[in-house]
Amino acid sequence: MSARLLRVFVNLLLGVALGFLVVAAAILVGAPLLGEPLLSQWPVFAPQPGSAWQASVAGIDAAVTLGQGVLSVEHSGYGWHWALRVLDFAISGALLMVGLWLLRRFIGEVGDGLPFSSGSAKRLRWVGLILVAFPLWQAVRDLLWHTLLKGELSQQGLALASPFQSQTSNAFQLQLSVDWGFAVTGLLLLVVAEAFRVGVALREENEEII
Amino acid sequence: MAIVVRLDVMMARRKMSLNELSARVGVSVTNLSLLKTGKAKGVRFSTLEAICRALECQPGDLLEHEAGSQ
Repeated sequence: MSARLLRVFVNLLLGVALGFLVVAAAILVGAPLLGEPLLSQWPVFAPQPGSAWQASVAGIDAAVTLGQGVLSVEHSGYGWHWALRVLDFAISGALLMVGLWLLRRFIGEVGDGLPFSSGSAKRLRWVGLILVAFPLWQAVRDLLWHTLLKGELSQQGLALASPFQSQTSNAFQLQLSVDWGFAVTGLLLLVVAEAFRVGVALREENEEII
Repeated sequence: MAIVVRLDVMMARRKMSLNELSARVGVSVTNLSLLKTGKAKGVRFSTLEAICRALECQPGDLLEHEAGSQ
């Protein structure tokens, strides 16, 4: 893919992301005003996986085991849940926009034929760091949610356990909803950025040889 | 650096200006100036050969090792 096409693609992505964030902000601000609930979901493991269906036909034993599901929480108003959603929106949105903007600048430099500058190496490193930071934030966000949900829902009779607690017989174990693929991609980018930095240093040294 | 460039000495002996040397060698005045003042990190054999040809001298006339300095 040429640098020009990449630039068009990233510009398009930046526009879509910005549009998505504007819509998300409008929903976040507008839903409590209109009395509409916001929906949050997490994967959970059942305390005792059970068989909901089983059959034996011609030497085949088949069974459906219910072991995991989704905890859906609808929340309305301006409580701590709303504050957490706003915090998630602000941090995730900022990481997304800054990452895409830096990528756009980097691709611009590649398109201009100046990829081996100290600025482009720095930008690539920051994109890598952002990609590593994103799943870490997702994990922190989920742990915050889990802590607060456990406190509130246990009063209603739903026993919940955090991902790091040993599974008890009657508590649904909450799982982190984290995409570690971002972190792996970020680490790869950090390696490439380091190679870029060495390349920039070599080019600068070469320029000082007459 | 222990290697000292004596380009200014040879240019004075040949009564050649930096501009003229630049035109004969094909290296910019800026780069020749960096070389003359000892600010360059290195010099290519091809550049050294062109300077020697222009100034009618040997590489040893342009470069000198100063013992004791780093």
